[in-house]
Amino acid sequence: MSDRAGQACALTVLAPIERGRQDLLRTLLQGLPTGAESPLARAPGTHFARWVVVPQLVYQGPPQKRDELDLAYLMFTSNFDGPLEPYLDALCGPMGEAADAIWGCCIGWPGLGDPASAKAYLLRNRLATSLFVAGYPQARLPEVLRALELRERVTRFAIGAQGQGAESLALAWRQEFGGP
Amino acid sequence: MSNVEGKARAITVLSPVRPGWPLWLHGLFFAGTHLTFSLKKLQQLSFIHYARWAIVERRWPGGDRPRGKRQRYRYLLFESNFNGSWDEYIDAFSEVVPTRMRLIWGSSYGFPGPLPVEPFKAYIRKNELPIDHYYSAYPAATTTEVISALEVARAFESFIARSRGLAGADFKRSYEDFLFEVQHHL
Amino acid sequence: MNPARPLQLENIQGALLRGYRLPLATYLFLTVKAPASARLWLGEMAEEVLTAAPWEAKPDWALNLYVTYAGLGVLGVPESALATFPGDFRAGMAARADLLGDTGASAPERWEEGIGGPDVHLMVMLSGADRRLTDERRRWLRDSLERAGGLGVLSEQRGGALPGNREHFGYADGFSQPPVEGFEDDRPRPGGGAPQKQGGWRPIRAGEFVLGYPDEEGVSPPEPAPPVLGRDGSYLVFRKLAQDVVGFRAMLDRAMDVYPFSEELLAAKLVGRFRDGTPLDRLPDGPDPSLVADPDRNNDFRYADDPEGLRCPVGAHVRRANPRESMPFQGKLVNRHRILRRGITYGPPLPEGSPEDGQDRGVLFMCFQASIKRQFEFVQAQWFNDGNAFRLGDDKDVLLGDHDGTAKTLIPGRPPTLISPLSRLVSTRGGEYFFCPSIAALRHLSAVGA
Repeated sequence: MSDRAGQACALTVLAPIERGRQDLLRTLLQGLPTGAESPLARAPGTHFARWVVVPQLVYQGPPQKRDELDLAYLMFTSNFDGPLEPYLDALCGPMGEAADAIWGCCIGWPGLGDPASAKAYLLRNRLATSLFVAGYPQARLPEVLRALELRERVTRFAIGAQGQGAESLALAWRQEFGGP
Repeated sequence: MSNVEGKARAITVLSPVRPGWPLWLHGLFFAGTHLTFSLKKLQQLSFIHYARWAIVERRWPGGDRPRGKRQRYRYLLFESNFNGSWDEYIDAFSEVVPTRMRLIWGSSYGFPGPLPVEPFKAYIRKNELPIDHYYSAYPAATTTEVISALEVARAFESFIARSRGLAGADFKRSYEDFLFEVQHHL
Repeated sequence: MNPARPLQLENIQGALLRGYRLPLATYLFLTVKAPASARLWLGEMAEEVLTAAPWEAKPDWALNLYVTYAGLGVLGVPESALATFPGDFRAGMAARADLLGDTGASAPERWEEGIGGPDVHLMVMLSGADRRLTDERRRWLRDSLERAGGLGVLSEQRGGALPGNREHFGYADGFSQPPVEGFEDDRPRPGGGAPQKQGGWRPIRAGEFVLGYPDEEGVSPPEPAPPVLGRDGSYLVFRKLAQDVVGFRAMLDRAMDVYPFSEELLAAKLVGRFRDGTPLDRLPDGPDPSLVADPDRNNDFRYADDPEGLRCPVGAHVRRANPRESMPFQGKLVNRHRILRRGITYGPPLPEGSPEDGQDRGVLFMCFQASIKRQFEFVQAQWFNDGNAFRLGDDKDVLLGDHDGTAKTLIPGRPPTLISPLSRLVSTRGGEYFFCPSIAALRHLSAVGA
């Protein structure tokens, strides 16, 4: 049982949606800006995250007996740089209005006006992770972003520097990457 | 509604667990985290950024109440962030780790087995939840690209240290060593 | 594993299981104007189709017939049966353009008329041993269409093999085709079929190419209904691919500015074989005609001991097309993505050193498979138009990739060579997805809805 894989951490929050607010919440989530403009970009250390409205359970047919939710649920999952505590602070801090609007559709959300209660709310509605797998468990987000950019730069440099003599190669390297 | 963000794809599957299985599932997951060899194949496939399994107990979370309604079954949640096509992902799962798939989803109602793959795909499709908002911090990169980039960064640091003070032919030789080392990651 | 029924060779179209290696081919793309007359003609032609049954002597001509999804509907196949065909085939090739990289110069809006699209219903492939015979058979075919009425010819494509089985970029082609289990001598030559853990090779299960037989999963995949229509059939991909020979040679010239070895080796590194066919994985230093001539050796390689691609680059064309044992898990990730290629070149060869002559040339590409999506489309999208499966990032196949003028490719070595920029060398001029019905299915179609 582990929420950790290397330094990476998994968070799953499953909170019941206020009756009648499911459609509003869906519209809100689907209308959020994506990519770098997503509110999740403001929670530092978030590699991947999602919000999913669970309207109902899927019936598999016999021999399963019918099993229904009486309320729709909002599922939030995040894959982020651990540990959990400061990450929850970020969710209840920099994400600000968006977080309030989203979890505000859930039963009993205390609001970010009371960050300690908001954190406690997320923790109370959290699921334990049974198994967590990470492709590069030791790499923190800033390191990943820096590496991706460096890879591009080195590739461009390597293409351009082919066939250069020793002196001009060293010069070109210094111009691109600095150094002595 | 999108389960795609750049090259990243998301799967969220919630499936009812047969009574009697859950305890065993917990044990299985415990073994999974400790016996890394059972995950090595998945990692070797190297198209999963992050994936998790979690059990939703019969009493669902209740918001500000202690607990929600008691459901008839426990549920197995599978959440994955990967790259490549959906079909390719499921194919690879089925072909490469069928035993593991059987162990994990074998406890769920309606699971047809990992092979043949078409019924398994239909099962996942049926139980997959549509995603309302999906975020990736590096949507342009696949898992292998991230791993490659980290390799380049590591080799870069060591080249910088190694080439300090080198000039002319010595620098060039050192650079060529660096390039030889990272060529497959560019 | 289900007990496999033997391949019904009298019922399966010949071109599916057998490359005829006839040097000329002509393709007529037909539209149905009057279904009743078209069905009569189809019934007549069903009896002329060359099947996969064993030959006593190799025929000097062959006729084969294929039908599009729109064609099935026009001929009168009921909606309930149409719905049992898979989505890729029903959508047709143009609808899959983004997935296939058919964008820019290859975009369907720019395709030639009459090869694909909703008006194309049937395609007749006529193969012949020489010009006189092929022309004679073509007249006979055209006459039969005239007599029958109810069918119009939308376009005609003509192909002719180049000397030495070369394609226009100058490479010998056709060394590697998967042997089909249960078909004639299915013992694979070394390098054919699926690599086995304990060494050696085995044929690919027939169900990967013919409907109604167990495939690599050991089960018969779903087939269209009714069985008489689907069984012993297959799916055919037809693409007219124009090759920019001048552009290819110019790319090699430019690359020689940064490549420290011979142009001959460079050309081999990009493709995975020397121009004469010598596989790099076997002989990384230079071609050897005696090896090329020996079918037990000219395809006998696995890449397994060259994961870095120092002999044959990981991104080389033939290594992408069939990665053999370089992928992990003993071919499990490869065996479900094989295709039977049946193509022929078109247009005149461009002599070495000639400037652009404005002539259209390339290949009339054809391949058969049980699932267009899992086989042809997967290979095109994942293996040729992306590099991630091989840990090559965004790198695409040098020859087939839809390059945008910035891409690169790597020739591993010390030092490595990075060739960039790359631009598109092969453009799609048209194409369509066809169903390759069995003989019984053709007879069924000739009577359907009547």
